[in-house]
Amino acid sequence: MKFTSTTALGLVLGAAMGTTAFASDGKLDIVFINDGHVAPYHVAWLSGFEDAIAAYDTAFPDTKITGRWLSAEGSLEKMIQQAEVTINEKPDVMFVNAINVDAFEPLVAKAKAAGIVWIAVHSPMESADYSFTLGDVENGKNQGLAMCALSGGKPFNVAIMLGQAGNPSGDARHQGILEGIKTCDNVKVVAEQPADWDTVKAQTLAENWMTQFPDLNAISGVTDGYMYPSIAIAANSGRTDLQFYGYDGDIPIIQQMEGGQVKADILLSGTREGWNFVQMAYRIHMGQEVEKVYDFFTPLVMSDENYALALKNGFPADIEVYNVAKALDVAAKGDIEFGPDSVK
Amino acid sequence: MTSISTSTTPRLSGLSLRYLVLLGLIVIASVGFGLANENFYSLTNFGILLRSIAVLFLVSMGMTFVMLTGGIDLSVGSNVAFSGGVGVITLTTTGSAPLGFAAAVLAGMAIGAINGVFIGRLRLSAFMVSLATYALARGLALVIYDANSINVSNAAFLWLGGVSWGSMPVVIPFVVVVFVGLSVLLYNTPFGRNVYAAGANFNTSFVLGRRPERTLVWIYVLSGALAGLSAIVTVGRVSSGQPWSGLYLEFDAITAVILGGTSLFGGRGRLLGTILGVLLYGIIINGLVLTGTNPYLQSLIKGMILLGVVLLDTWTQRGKTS
Amino acid sequence: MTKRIDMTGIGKSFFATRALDRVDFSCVSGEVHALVGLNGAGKSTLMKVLGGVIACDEGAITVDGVAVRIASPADATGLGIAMIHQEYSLINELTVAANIFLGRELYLGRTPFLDKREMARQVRTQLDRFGLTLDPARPVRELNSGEKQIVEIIRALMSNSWLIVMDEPTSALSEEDKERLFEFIRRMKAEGVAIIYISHHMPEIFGIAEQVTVMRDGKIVLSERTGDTTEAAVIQSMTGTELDDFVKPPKQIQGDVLLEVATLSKPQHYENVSFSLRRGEILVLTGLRGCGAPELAKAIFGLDGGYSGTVNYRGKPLSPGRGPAVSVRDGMGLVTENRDKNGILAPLSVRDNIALPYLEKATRGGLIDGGRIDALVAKAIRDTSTKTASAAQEIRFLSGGNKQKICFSRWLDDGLELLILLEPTRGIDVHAKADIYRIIEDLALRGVGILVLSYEIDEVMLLADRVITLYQGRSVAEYAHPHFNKDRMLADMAGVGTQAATAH
Repeated sequence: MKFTSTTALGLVLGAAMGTTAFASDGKLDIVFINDGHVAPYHVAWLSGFEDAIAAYDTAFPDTKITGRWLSAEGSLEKMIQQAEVTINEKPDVMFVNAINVDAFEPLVAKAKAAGIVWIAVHSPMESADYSFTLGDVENGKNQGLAMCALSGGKPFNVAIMLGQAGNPSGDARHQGILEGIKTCDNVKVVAEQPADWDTVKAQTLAENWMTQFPDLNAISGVTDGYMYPSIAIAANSGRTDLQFYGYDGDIPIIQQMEGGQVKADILLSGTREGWNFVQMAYRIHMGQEVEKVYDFFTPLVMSDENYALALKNGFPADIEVYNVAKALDVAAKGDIEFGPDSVK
Repeated sequence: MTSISTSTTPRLSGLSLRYLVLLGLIVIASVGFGLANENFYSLTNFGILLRSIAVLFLVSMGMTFVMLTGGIDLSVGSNVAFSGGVGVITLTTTGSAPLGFAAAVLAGMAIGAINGVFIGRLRLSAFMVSLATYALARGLALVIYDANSINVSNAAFLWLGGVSWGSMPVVIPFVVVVFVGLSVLLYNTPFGRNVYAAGANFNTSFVLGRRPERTLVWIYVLSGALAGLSAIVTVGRVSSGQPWSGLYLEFDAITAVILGGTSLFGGRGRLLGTILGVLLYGIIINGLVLTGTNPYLQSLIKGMILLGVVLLDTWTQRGKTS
Repeated sequence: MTKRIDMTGIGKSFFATRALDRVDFSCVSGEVHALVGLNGAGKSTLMKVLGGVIACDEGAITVDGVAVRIASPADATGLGIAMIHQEYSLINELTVAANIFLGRELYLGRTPFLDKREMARQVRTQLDRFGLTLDPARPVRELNSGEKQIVEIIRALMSNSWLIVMDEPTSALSEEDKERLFEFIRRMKAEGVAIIYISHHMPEIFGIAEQVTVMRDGKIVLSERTGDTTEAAVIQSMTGTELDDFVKPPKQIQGDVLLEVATLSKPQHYENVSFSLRRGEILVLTGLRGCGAPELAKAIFGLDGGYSGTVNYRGKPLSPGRGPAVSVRDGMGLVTENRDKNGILAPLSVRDNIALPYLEKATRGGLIDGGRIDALVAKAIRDTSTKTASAAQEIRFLSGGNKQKICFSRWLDDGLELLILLEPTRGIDVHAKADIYRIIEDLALRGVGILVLSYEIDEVMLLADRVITLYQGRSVAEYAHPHFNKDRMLADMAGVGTQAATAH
């Protein structure tokens, strides 16, 4: 990667100024540039972020904590423009969920030159000050392991709904799910298809699969968005035996776990992630040690009954699992795990 | 001008009035955003602002030609992705930046030629044809990119879209050169007059032997060529070729052209109006980001401004005729 | 039972012009009353009074002896008077039955659903009554002109109309459709319908009408039973003899032959037409609407192919349908009959409208020399005495006459050799007309060959060096200046002496 002279100069300056650029003036300004703002996960994420800013500002009167978010609406060009404008504004911390990380290398350098802490969201960046990652492979694997443990040892057919072709997050989750399933012999993948994060496409897929595979036992997905249409179609066609394995920790999905057909989910929750951002920014601001590549804590969710059964069937005891009540609690209230109390 | 036009009392044509309104809005928006955020007036911000609308300038100028003929080109955004892909792939396989540039522009012109032949020669609806090429070009882009982006590090290829002289992005002088060139083409050549004639009345234009069907073909090729140039600028800006670049660009361009006073029905409008339209649009977008306006509101504000300007236009037009 | 309508002493003035001068006109059910007259004779004004479109200044209208007031088209409809215009008022996307029942649809009981079957049945009954075959379920867009006309008339009849006014009903019809229309009219007569039939076609009038009335200058000049008069007498009274016919001074035309048309034919439009045109000559083609002359002119200009025969221009044959661009390059010009549709470029300035054909000539090194264009435009505006605020004025703000002058200005260039004019003074005022005649004469003096299509006999007499009359696509006779005979020309145009289109 070649840099222009200005960005190279910026790099030198940024390195010279180091981490002393902030923390002195008792203010913390955080900007979050996201790739979208209308998907349910994004809505929860952005409002969690807003709530956390307000809560931290009240909890720590010594520091004036402000923040705002921007949405690039899926356009890389727009995201770059927003990042440029934001750098010119000199906030203290920038979270950027880059659509393409390589395109942002020059901007990371510019931000460093301006003394801004750059946190790369989801896709890690070597040059960034920090990266906030999801552990998608690990999470996917946990979902696969849960499937093995709850499949009951008999031949078990699963169909997987994937993300958009070429999407790194979706690919990582897919890879993890397959790794988890591989640990047992009875679970067989009979079909996998991208549904492009689109519920309508997911609905079509679910309909096709249920007619095509009468002996289907489970549908797995890389997002909870796929679960809503799948569950509805299974109910309509009387497939009460079908199991569902989700990913995201959407509250309506978790609510269907106790005695229901949804067996396991990965608890991301946009609300939690938004709160975690602010917590992370505050910790950096206060000079606490934060890992350069920070993994968002995303436990597996199962009902108590299913967890007991899973443990009996050899599910590893060291994997953290939340029960439904706890998951619902923390998913709705990000401050339980990431609130001001967590850093006091 | 000769004695005929100068002998009459000076009057404000509908278009000049529109330009004054646009200038007024630009001033109002600038003052407003300047008051809300002192950074708005920084040189750096002007550089950022201009760079962010460079592509919109190029595409909108092509769209102005198209809309002057009463047509529409919905394919430009997808064409930016497609021609960028062709350019980047040519660059990575041959290693030659000039070949990459040529390939991008030619690819853009090829999509334009498809539009032109169907719209100009076969007289199909511009909306329909360019809606088809909108999907077609995006599909081609996804296929040739294999849905993944391609990183570009060739300094020469990135120069146009990526480099700044101080706060001035080099792409802005380039846009100015294109603007002057297209102005000469539109106002000082028979081709340019044919563009107005084809849009004002296709039948009359045909009967007068102006070959409007041929003019239309070239108009869409021109729009495609500008999409190709925009692709080069876009690649430079994001230092990579992206299959999803140029998303919704056609709508921004149509918005800017309409803001600039070009009639949807053809025959009426000027490039200067489009330049002002793009500026106003860019300032509003930039200002909304700077002032931290709620993104849920931004779309609403854009829509209201467009509606407002169109309303204002109707009123002034009515006032003039009555 | 018979009904009758009487219009007595109808008078109407527009400013200083006496459009109707105490006109008496009546119509009886079961009869066709033909109304003829030159353009501007007052026929359409009279019919507009009858249709409630305009109010008369004086006079009375009675139906079966009872005085009525027709103040609006709705009043006319209420009295059972229906106007069938040349432009049909049907909705293309609806079926025949839906069009006929438009606005008074039948429903299934009290439901909001249409009773399509019953509507179709009623339409079919009506069609049968008049011996017509037409599927009520067909969409109107699939019908030809003749069938659309039938639908219009049936719609009128089913709305209880007993008096039908038809304005030039055969102008857009094929021979076959004409025959069917005449048969339909005869059946309507038998059913007690009254028909006012506006036409210039003598064979049609004498074939179908019981009564013929001729109007001239807002007055009735002849009203006779068709059996008691002749085609020649009708023509004679249309033109009158008291009119002081203007005859332009004789001139010598020495130019060589510019255009030579030989045995040109196109089915349904024109047949076996031959003529030649010299440089500097004004040749006028005239006839009634539908005589085929505009199509002929368009074929010569290269707009239209698909004809047989040859067109030689400057001694060389022209290829059919070669497109206007080639024609313009070769020194031809065209002024179309419909200014607003394909004559002007409404949103553009006067300057742009005039300059278009000159652009290439004023271009140096790829760039237009604005000064040259301005000079050309200024000269064109001066030469045609066009009234415009400035050359930058948008043309749509100009009057019809000035718009028309601009359509001429485009062709004043020295390179022009043949100018084709379709209805050069349609819809413009007297002063602009005079200017346009002067422009045409000037061009001819310069050596331009001019081919004119005109439907106005006075204009023909005024302009032409030579006249060719056409009837239904065939040339009837040729007249050379100064041997013009207005009555004979009108008789040619009206088809006098040709086989009667239909028998009594």
